[in-house]
Amino acid sequence: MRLLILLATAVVALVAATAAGAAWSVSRSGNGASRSRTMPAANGVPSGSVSSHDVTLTWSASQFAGGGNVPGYVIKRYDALTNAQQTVLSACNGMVAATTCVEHSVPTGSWKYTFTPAAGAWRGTESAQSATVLVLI
Amino acid sequence: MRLLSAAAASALAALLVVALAQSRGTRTRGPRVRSPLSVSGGLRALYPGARRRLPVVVRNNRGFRIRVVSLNVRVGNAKPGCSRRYLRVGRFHGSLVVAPHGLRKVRLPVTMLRSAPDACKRAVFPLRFTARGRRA
Repeated sequence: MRLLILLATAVVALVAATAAGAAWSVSRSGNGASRSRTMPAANGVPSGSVSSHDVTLTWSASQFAGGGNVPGYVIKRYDALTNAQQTVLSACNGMVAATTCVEHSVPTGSWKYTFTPAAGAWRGTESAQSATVLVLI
Repeated sequence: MRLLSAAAASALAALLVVALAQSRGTRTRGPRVRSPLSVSGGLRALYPGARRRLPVVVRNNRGFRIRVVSLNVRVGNAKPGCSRRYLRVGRFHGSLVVAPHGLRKVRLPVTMLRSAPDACKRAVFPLRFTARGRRA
């Protein structure tokens, strides 16, 4: 009988200690989600002006559905006669973060420009081509 | 006497099982007991290169103050071609004490990598939060 009481006391002490530990430390999981956007189409067409062999391009900002401007744009230049895509020169090459840029040292010729909304590897719909920009000798 | 001993032993065994189950957070099929902490959060408007703050709400469901000692976020795969590696969520640093039956909001840094492919457009990354706390 004494052994049984001793055992019972030990078990009760163990239970009390376990319960006390549980009360002082809690953990909980919950759920949520992060949603991403998609790219918009270009807003309008770019316009260009020439000064010697520098072409200044401007265009309207494109916005994500739900608001917020896209972080960048990709500019493309096409030959106005053959429609062949050309290599865009500094400082309109790569991703342009602004809504204007100046392409320097543009070769003599007639060119048309487009812009495409961009974010990282994502691309929106390319704009229609600008009016022809003439770069003279 | 033997009957009394057997009954006492059975009662103690039952007590032990219940206590162990509670301490391990095991779900038992009975009346549902609300967890001491609830964690939720979410974010919209992600795109490659975007840096945002993920609002996470920690709710204290108990009548005493709880100090949150860790808060982790696990990101799941959004969909085929858009794995969780394109979304990075920063860790929680610091101390957070939640008032009895109160809530606190923390903001964790979130970045969508610039290399996120087109498959990540209109994607939903599931988030799983785990918080640990102790009585403050």
